[in-house]
Amino acid sequence: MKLIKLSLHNFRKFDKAEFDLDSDTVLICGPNETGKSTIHQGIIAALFGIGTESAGLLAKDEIKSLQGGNPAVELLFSAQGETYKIERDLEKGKARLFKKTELSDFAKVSEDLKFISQFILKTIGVSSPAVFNKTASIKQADLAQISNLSEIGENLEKIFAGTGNISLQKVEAELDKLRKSLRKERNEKSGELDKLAERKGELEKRLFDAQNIASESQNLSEEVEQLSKLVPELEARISELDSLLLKLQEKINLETKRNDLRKQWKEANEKLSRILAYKERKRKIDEELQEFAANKKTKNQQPILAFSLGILGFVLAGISFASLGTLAVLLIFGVIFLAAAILIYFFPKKKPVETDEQKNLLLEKEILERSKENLEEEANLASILENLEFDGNAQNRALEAFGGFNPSTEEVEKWKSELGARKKELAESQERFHFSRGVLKVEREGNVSPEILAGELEYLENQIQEKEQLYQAILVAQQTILGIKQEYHGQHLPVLEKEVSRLFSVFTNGFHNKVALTENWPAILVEDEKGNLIPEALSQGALDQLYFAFRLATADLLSQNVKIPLLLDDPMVHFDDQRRNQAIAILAEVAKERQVIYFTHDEELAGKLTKSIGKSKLVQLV
Amino acid sequence: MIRFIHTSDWHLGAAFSVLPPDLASARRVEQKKAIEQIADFAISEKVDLFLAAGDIFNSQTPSALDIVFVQNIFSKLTNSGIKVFAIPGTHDAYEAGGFWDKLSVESSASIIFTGAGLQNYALQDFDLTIFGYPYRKANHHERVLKEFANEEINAKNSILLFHGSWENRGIELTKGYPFTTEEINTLPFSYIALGDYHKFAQVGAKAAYSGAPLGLDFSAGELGPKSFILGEIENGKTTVKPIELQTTEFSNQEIDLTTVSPAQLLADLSAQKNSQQYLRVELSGIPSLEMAAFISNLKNDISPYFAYAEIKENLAIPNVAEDESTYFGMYCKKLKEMIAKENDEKRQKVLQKALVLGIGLFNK
Repeated sequence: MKLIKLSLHNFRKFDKAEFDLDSDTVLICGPNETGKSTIHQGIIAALFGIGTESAGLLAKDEIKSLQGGNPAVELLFSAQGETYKIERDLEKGKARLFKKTELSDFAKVSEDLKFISQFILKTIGVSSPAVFNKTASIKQADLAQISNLSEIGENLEKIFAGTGNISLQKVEAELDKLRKSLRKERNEKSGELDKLAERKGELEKRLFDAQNIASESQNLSEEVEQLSKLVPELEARISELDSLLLKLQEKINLETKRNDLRKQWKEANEKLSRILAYKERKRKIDEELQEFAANKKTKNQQPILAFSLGILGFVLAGISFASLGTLAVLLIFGVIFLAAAILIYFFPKKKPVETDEQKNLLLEKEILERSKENLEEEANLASILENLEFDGNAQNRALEAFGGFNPSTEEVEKWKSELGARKKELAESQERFHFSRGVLKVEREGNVSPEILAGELEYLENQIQEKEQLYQAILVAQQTILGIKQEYHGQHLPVLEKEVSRLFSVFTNGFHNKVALTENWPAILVEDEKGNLIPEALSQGALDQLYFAFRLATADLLSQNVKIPLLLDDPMVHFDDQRRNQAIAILAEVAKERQVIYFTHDEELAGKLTKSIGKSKLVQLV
Repeated sequence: MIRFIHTSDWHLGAAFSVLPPDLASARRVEQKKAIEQIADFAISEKVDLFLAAGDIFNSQTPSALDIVFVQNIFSKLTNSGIKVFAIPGTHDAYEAGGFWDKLSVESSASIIFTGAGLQNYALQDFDLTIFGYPYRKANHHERVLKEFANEEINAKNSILLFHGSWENRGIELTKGYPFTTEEINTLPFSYIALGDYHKFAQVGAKAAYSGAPLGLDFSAGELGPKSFILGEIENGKTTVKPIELQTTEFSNQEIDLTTVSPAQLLADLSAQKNSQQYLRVELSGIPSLEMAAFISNLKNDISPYFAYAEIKENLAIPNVAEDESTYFGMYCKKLKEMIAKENDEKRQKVLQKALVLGIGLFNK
């Protein structure tokens, strides 16, 4: 690849300028502030446009014209046998790419920025503007920054990375940081995924609980519904049973009372009978006592009676004889009356009471007379009995109302046991009803709906899925990087090592013949004069040379066999004369393979370069 | 003249699971506010009827609080002299012994059609009969609507409340009591108050979907402003007017990143700043390296401008150099090869993510 011509319009200090670069070596020479860096920047801007520093590009502010007006650049270059022209309006961010045709005219290839950018990268064989800047474009400041060997390694790693200012180590560290932020390993702090998983667990539990509560609420609500029907039913049944038993009790009370009355009546009646019996007894005793007295009289009167009867018989016999004249009649009457008299006289009707018996009777009578009060109750008892009979009738009439109400004992027992059971059931149901209704209220008002929790869970799961994808991607990235690191080092370090060793040996005039990269990359070992590989502390000059060697070698390595132009911005400013001469010799070598554009303020150096490189073009800035 | 409010698809109890829990919870509050707004509007406009055409609840087991909320809304309306009519929809389909029975009892002043088949309720003062066809799970694939074409109506005006899907919409054709515009046009009713679709739409000459009071997620029918209907019937002829509700809107924006720069993307999105919008940005196209690195933080960058923002990446593999001379080139090459070889879609997504992640980190 070769740059042919650069035109700058309103680009920093150049109002309108054209630079012919059509040579294998171009020396751009001029004191400070004459526009060397501006030309360098113009080339970069023409190739890649403007943008951000991180992308290896110039910022718009950096290229602003001092005179005002829209900055624009145009670059003519050849690559892979073709000649191209690129025009960029840096103010509007537009670009056009042309290709020279056989008719020696430029035909437009594209105005598409993206296409142009891809085309340029492909044509010059680097992966990004940053890589171009880090390899082909070498500024004096790049070298001065290097103060030891390990910095060279680190710098090269950034170049190898291929995108700008980040090294692979940094990418790996970032990945691990990201990985840690997601999921912990061993003793690390919990990452986002760990926390999400924890929250998911909690949420699942809450959802489970809420679902249980909801289904319990459903059951409770059914139970409350049932209980709200059952309780009044129970209450009704209990009141029914209560009234049945009350009725029974009333009946029993009436019967008891009636029986009492009956008993009282019976007692009163018995008492009255007893009193009447006493009375009768007493009368009998009196009679008997009279009989005793009468008996005595009867005994005394018996002969008189018999005699009287005899007389009467004779009288009657005499009368009958006198009237009838018949002796027989006389005899019959006389015998009859005589016999009667004899009978009366001799037949004692009762034996007289013995004295003891009489005494007993008298004693008994005395006892009976002593219970004279009882005897006086007779009248009372009669009225009591009458009352009792009245009350008894009233009870009977009251009991008539219970006609047909004759529960059997078993029936009553059944009622009683049912009543007990129902009362217990009612109490339990009421308690359960109030409890369930209370719980239901609390649950309904307090329970987060399972649907909403399920929604939260869904959101969380989506988040987890997203983060998990990222986590898996991180693992893939980490593994891939491990793989490419090995592969890259295996593939490129030996090549680089060989080339750097060769260049450094030439630069140092054979003082350092070998630079070892593969031993312990990114640590670099340099062979000393005794042939030992050591992490040598090199002088600043030697470091610059080594770094320069690296840059040249990597430019070849990274530009994939496209020999891109080298833009060298006074890299040899710190080289001593001897080394400078060696560097000039190297550049002469390099210039055989690729275009070298060398910016310097040192006219002497420019002269030396022109002399040793031969075919070259000098652009003198003033 | 009969004036009415027609609304539907409240979806009370919806989880709003596309939003983070705190926003989902705030959305549920906003949902109830929107419904209250409709009721307040009905009262302030002194309309005669309030028609709720199904999917009042999001499920067949709504929470007690949501049921009480609806009871309160209904009683607020009936207490203001507005006749309320409602039917169950697909989500809250009637089930014997379910909550609708209870709600019907509790809101006895409102007419909730829950019985089987087409039912009606006559309002003699208005010479109007209101018909309702409640959604019942058992027979939801039937084309029931056309069967009402010969319905005898003994009133000058008539309204049908129906929850079903209009086939012309071109979305999910056969679910839930499907019907066509032609079928609607043959019906004898003065107005058919439809529920099911969440966006206002007129169907034929005398039917309309009121739309939902607010969107539920980022799917097509849920986006943009939402409304309810203020309608009038005069001499059997109906006119409807959608009334927009001021609620936070779901919005879905597809952006092809192929030709957009990060700065431009951020400027475009921030220019749409709207705190009343849930924004989903679906990124497609081929991102530049710079863009690939940029989008990993895009969600955080734009979140302050919206009620909620999320980024869905549906990107093609970025155009990256596959040269093996740099770690980055090698990384991209390896991953592209892995992606090409991978058959499992899920794993492919992981690999693609790893590629974009690497692009982001290498270009930081």
